[in-house]
Amino acid sequence: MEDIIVCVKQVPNTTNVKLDPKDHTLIREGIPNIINPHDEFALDAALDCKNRYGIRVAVATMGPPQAKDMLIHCLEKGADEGFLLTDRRLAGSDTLATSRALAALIRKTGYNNKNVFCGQESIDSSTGHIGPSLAELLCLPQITYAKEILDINGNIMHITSEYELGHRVIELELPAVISFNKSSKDLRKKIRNISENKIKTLKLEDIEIDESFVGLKGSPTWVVNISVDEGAMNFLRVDSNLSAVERIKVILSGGIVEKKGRMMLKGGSRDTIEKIVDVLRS
Amino acid sequence: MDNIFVIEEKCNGCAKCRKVCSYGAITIINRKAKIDLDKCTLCRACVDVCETGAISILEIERSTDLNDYKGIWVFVEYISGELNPLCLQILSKGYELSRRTREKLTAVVVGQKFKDVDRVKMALVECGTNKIKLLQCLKIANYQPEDVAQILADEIISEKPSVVLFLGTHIGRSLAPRVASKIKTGITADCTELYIDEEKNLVQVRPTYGGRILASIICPNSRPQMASVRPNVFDVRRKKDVNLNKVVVELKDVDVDSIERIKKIIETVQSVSKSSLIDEAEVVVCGGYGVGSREGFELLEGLANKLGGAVAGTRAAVDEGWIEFPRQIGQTGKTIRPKIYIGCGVSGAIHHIIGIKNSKKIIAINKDPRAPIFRIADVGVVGDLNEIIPKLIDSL
Repeated sequence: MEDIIVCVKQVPNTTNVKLDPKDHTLIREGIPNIINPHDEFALDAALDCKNRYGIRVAVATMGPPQAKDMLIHCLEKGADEGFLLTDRRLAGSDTLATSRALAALIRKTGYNNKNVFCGQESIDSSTGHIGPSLAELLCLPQITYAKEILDINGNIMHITSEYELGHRVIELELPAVISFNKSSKDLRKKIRNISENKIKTLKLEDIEIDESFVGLKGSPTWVVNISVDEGAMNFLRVDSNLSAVERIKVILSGGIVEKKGRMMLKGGSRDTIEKIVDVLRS
Repeated sequence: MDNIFVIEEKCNGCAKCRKVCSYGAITIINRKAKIDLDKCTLCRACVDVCETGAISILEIERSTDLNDYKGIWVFVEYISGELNPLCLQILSKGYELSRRTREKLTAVVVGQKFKDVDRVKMALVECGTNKIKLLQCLKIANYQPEDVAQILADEIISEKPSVVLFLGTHIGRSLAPRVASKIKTGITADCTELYIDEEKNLVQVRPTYGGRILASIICPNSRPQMASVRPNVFDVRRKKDVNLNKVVVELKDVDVDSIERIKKIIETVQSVSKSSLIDEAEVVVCGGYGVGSREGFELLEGLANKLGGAVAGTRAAVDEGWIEFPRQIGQTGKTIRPKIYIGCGVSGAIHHIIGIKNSKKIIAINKDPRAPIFRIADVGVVGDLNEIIPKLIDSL
């Protein structure tokens, strides 16, 4: 089996975002950054391979300078080397530009024609694009929604991949790009301390890619507007038909407005059950 | 010239920009906002929230030389002799777009061997297709994205459509980005809305940031504009008067480079029967973290069976291993729109709500009266599901 490079991304922990009660905007500052959960499962799968087959595992990320902490965490779990690609000119990259930058990094660090592992998608943008895009740019086969590596003999791997009705067992000749789904396995633990000078920091010139292929200029797609999802948040708007006193009450309660015509019931009394059955039958 | 900068004269130090930045890139110094370009990802959140227009972001000139590219294409999956009926949802949306742009709608079907072509034709034409491409390739037994991407890319390069849409199934989400990277164009995943703007761009709207933010995206300088759409976001709309003679059907055999590559499916383990699929069920009983265990889900199955429905789970329940991933509902799982959704022990986190908000009736059972799900429920029951569900089953 060939060595593995794991592409990881540092993301804001989107599960913990609060609302500003004054103007109902999302307070995104101060949200802790974490390693994207799917990427951590990809890293663990790579470290399992390292333990079983003695190959090297590298980690790489494209991100701001503070992503270095995430790479240190990965090395402390057992990865052998870490690459931080950080450059202002990468800001605004869409998934094509990001894949190009990562592919250039993978080539420059000598990991092309070796295995690439990554998470199936990130919890902030959730596109699932990077795995397949990288596979295309590196001319490698791809596996998405990967669940578990069953075994590897020489260069032939058996791996399970999830689909809508269950999972498939796939036989695959390595090297390949594999995107991992989250699993219910326990995560591996830190095994050693690592100092930050073990991380190699790279900029665009180091990976030999022209700035016209990355960043805002290298991205065919652009975001033209951002808005809070009204549909998901419709219970947070204050109805302007309420009186001033009622509106203040709503705001003080955190901006929650109940759905109109809602029926609230309590406990499992016969009366409650009958009401539910009525609704179900109608 | 920096890609983004603060026009100090316009900045009033209100700090809205700093609050909305996920990347810690903005600080307020002497009552003026300052952007750290090392941390800024150009996500635009600050630009949109600034009330004085003090943040200026680079807007790239849009080229207008893309008139060669015409037509709305929708990729249709055809596997093991069957068309995926959920693709008809995307076709119906494509029809709407084609009317707006006054261009033709083409259904591009890729399959190993086509059977019953007339029935396939009928299904596609009923949704407004003007042209059908049936691309047959004997080598794609396993429908692998490496091969299907090549077939599609060749066809796109040769015919130059303006838009190519995909259904966001596992297949679609694995295939579409490979195609986009091959032809070096833009692609947006999991759109929840698509429309054409005044400049004839396809505007692609999708949730991001755990579902709390809606981003509107365009691909102004590159063609085709590609996007994937999740199942059950759009409806299938069938036309009544259908003229089969006006539809152009092209059936051709295509080839892929025969690189010797070992990649095949050696076993398929179906853990969910198609009839119990949550996508099409009219009643869905969904369990969350409050169910507490895998055995707890058996109770929900009892209720689902009584109602002729299907069982599903939230991300929390799937992460715990109490129910399998194909039954996950939410931003990372499936979107459903059943007649009745019953949430049991579901708290109602936003990433889950996205997957269920189009249900006709939402019933929620939870011990915690402050659970967010109650805010969108038509019927909220504060109580213990272990007590309520058995009683419900008995009464039905």
